[in-house]
Amino acid sequence: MSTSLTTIFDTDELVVTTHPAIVDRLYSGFAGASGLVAMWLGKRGRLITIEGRLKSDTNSSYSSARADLLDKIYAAEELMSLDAADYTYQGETMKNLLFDRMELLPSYGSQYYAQDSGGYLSCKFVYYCRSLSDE
Amino acid sequence: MSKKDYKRLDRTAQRLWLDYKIATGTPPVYPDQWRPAYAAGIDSVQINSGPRSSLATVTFPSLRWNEKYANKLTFGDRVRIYKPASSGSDEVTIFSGFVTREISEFSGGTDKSAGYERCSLALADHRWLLTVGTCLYGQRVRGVDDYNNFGTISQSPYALKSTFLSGRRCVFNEGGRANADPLLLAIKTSDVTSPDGNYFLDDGVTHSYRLFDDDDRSIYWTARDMIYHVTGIFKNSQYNYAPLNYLNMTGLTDVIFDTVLHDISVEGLNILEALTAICDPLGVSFREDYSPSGDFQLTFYKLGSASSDTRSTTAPTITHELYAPQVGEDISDAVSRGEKMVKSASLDRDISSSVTRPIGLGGRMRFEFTAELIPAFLDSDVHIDDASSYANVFLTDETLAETVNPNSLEYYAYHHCGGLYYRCDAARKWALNESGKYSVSPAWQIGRDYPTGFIVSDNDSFYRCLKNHLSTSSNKPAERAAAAIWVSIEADYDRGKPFDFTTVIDKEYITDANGKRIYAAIKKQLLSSLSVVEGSGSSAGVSVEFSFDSGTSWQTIPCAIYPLDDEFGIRIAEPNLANIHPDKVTTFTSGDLIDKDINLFSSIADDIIAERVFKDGDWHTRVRVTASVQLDNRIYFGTDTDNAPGYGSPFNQYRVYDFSSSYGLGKRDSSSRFYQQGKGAAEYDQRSGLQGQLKSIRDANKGLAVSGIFILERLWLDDSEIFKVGDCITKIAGRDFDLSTSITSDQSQATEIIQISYDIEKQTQTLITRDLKFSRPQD
Repeated sequence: MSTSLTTIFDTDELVVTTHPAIVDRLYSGFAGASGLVAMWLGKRGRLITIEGRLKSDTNSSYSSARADLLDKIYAAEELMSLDAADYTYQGETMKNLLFDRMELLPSYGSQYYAQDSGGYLSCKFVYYCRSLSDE
Repeated sequence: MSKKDYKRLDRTAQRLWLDYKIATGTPPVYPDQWRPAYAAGIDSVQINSGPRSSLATVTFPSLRWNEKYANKLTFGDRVRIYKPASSGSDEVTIFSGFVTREISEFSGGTDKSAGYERCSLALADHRWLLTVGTCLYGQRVRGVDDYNNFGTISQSPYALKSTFLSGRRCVFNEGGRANADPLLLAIKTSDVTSPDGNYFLDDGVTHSYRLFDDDDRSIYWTARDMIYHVTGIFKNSQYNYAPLNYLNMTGLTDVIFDTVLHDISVEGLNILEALTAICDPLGVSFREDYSPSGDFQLTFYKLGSASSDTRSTTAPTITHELYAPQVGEDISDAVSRGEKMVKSASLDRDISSSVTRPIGLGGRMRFEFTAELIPAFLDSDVHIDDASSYANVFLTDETLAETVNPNSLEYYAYHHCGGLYYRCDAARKWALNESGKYSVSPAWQIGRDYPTGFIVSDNDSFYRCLKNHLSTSSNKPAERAAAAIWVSIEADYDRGKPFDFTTVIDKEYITDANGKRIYAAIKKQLLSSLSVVEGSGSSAGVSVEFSFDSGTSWQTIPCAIYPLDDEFGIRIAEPNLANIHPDKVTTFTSGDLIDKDINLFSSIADDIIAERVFKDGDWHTRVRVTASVQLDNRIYFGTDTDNAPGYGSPFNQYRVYDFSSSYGLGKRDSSSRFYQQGKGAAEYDQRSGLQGQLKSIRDANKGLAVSGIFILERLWLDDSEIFKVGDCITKIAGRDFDLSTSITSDQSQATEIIQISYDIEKQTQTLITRDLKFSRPQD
């Protein structure tokens, strides 16, 4: 059972990037000798970044739009406390995904929150995730 | 076909798996099947040799500190760690044991350190349970009701029957005497019952044990007998969880376990301590192993003596060569050859505690013989009443009974136990004179420093004076006139030369290669004879005989006699010496005592009156004794033609091992009256046993001490390559560094692995080697 990332973030404007697997390897040298022995300790999952934009649902005022956007940010950060689970995006399934860290990105200059002409407030974010599976 | 992993520069980490069984009830019962614990992380496994249990730590990274795996994995549950079967390699269990500790840790962290929660279990192997769950005491024997027709000629032991005696200490071959029942007891676990039913689970194994028995009808326990006894179902109260029997104890077929060890006490010990007490003298240790299906086994092996490179039931330990590349060497070739690469090592080689020449001291040699004693009294001590033609030279009990004041009679006053001036030595004390105390003194004593004074001679006279009055320039007192400090010695013993033991003991035992006697004129003690009373097995004791005809005939005369406690001799305690007389009443036919009855006192009086000289053999009165004596030398083993100085040390380095209560030598000389009577004797010669034990000690201690820590850069777990405790490291190839020690021309010893630690996370394996002097492994 997997969950769609677009459902979670309530937007299709996501950029999901699957990075190469993280590898753990131990190298041993020997006194006086040349060369190394490499001990393959295995893959340690892979990094997955999710970039997107959160947008308020209200535009009646700046303050209400800001409050609504903050609620969406708080909801998104709750993902960090979830157990590993499978998620899908554009037909791709990311197995045993853990949400590690979330950062907001500047939208204009140093501004993180941006209000559009309709009065809606939005912010860019990037989520750093780790898939615990090699798949 | 791809290369084996250990022949590639790029290795792959090996995963170890963990299975468990949950216990139910107390004492616990376990299900038959193991269950896998997939979420377990194995932190470390430490394999130990000998009585130290192996340990492992596992962590469950997905659990909070207050949780349990599967909600129940806890104390007493069984756990095993193994490498699963893979292509070309069987499943290998490297650890199996019990949960003994729960380790819960957590921290909220700080701004500089991360928080964590940890839920771990510490595990100990079956040896832990045998250590804490067994205690040996008492003896198991066949009791009087364990025989059919006990005490009759048709006596036979009942099958399965034995009796436990808590009041007898569990000491094998106690005091060097055999105490094992020759008849084995065969019994199954299902035969051992308690009031509640079967005590053990029925494993279908028939166990055969020796039991203890009285030393009169016993055989010696061999080391193998002892091991089977201490691990037997009567001693192993944890048999259901850590079964030990002839099927799962390997290595015991080696001839070294035929060795008879003496005085091995396991009273109050647990099974592993007992095994150590038995194995240590043999230079043997043991380890916990597992069958291919993971069942518990115990394997016995000789220390540092691995010689084969292939493991088998007869070669439970093998040799390994490690590899440390030469300077400048490219490791590719070494790795592709499959060398066991050493990542790092620490070696400490030391000759300071080598023992190249162990010396074994057994008990003092003991010999039984018959020999005449000398009168340990002065002639002048014997008061002879010559009044009325010696009418009262001695008095019979009848005469004394009618005497109103017997102390008025000199014989009674001086020589009867009830006499006013009773002389306890005169005519009563007889000694072997082994120290020369009764010889030609005081000349014998010249120059000797006695508590009573220093003996000096002057013009054929002898004097005793206080030492602090002697002149520094001579041994004469500074003030001769001071008679009080320079007392003339008027009379002293003159009973002839000190006793010569070569007259009654085979010279093999008391002379050296040059024929020199190797004992001293030092007082010894009279001991019971080695001869035994027929049918009972107990010592025939001491025999004292008297002769009144210069030794022509001898008679044993019932009377009170006790041995001297500070020299080889006797004191006659019979109240009236006149009661000691020949069977038939005989009288003197000549001399001053003519027609008087012959008894011990009158015979001595006659010798003295006639001025016969004892040392010339003139006395008619003689006393001889049959007893045994411990001479001044022990049985000893310290020379061995194979025993050249040890490897690494140019010196002979000695250590004395005292086995005085374990090995001895007792011989009966043909002079013994008991020998001539055809009595049996409890003779013993345990020199070969002492020699065998010393050789084991030498083999285990001879070489230089090599303490080592070797870290290998992978886990060697494949069945044919696996390292086990007891295996030996013969050399570090590459650098050509030899770690073996030559003991004899055809025997060598290599440094032995006593501890193996697996670091699963780093995939490294650490080998700890024993220095050859039994140094303790690292904790």
